[in-house]
Amino acid sequence: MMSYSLFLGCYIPAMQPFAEAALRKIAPKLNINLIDIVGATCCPVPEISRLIDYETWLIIAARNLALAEANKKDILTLCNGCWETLMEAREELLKEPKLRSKVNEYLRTLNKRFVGSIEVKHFVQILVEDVGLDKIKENIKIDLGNLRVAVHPGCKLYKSENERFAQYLKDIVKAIGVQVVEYDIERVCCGYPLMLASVDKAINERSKWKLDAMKNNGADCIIVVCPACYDQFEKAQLALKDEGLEYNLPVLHLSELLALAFGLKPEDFGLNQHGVSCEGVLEKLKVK
Amino acid sequence: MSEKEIRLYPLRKKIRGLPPAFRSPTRGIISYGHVPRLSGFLQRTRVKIGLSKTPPTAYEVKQAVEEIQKIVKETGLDVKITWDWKRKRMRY
Repeated sequence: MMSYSLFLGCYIPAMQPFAEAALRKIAPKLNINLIDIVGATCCPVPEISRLIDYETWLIIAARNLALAEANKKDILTLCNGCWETLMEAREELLKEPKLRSKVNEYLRTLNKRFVGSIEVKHFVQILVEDVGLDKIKENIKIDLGNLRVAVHPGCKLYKSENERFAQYLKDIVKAIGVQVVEYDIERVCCGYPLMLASVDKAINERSKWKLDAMKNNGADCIIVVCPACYDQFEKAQLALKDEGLEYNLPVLHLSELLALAFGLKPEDFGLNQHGVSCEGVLEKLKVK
Repeated sequence: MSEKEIRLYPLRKKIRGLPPAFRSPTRGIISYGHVPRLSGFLQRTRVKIGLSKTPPTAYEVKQAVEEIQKIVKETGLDVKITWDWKRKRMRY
């Protein structure tokens, strides 16, 4: 059994608990043991916190890393933003000893210390590099060959070395027998960070552009590995519906797709509670 | 500061608040350690799908929020963003 410190962040537990429930239920089947990071906070969100005050961003991230280090297990995260913050903060702290000392001065008042003894790993990285695609295939109980999915890695995954995490997502989805729809603008951002500047541009230009491409290429649903992308694609569809545009493209976190493939009932992890109904996907897979 | 105030008091230090879209997430992190609140509806949804009502993060652990607030005070972020500790919001 491989053990990891589970870093939930904010959006997974508070907006997409379905991904958390799915992960907790499929983890034993993948020989994964999850240890909660008690007292973890927001990573903190890179698009906002780092821009407002770099030092505060770094100290809060270091505090979260120090908590995980107490578990003595690498971090597993289901969120691209959390992965980016924790991974980049860790790298910067390891690279700059003076900065590390300064941050540890702050942490000392909280009885904590950043050492850098554990790694920060994204869910897709763990699935491919630690668990292995064969182990995933062993657990498949449902034929998903009928399902056509649009894969959206999210822009942060392209920050991984040689952009390999984005490819990992495709590899996993293909390994479980799903048809992957090519729609040309996979690497374009979902529009979530653009919401901070203009809701109209984010939804009517960016998200709509992607949703149109996915729909026109015959996707039945969208697969993401980031709760912000999930939120954006759902929010955009609900907003565009008010303007008479209906996409009916359910958004699933990879952990939910795996839970379905492993034969879990949709209501066991909340697939029946999504903002954009997943009924079409379930009908296609003949899952009740 | 309004244009009129700038003309009247040209040497007064300009205070610029956070961009509107940054306010709510920042308020969330300082007030409860996370960006969104964990609503009652979501807490019930979590229980329905077999999760704990609240995860063992700052949503549940008060000390975590206190530690974040201590960091914010020590780095001076509270002054930078004109955070009002009593009213739990930014002054500007």
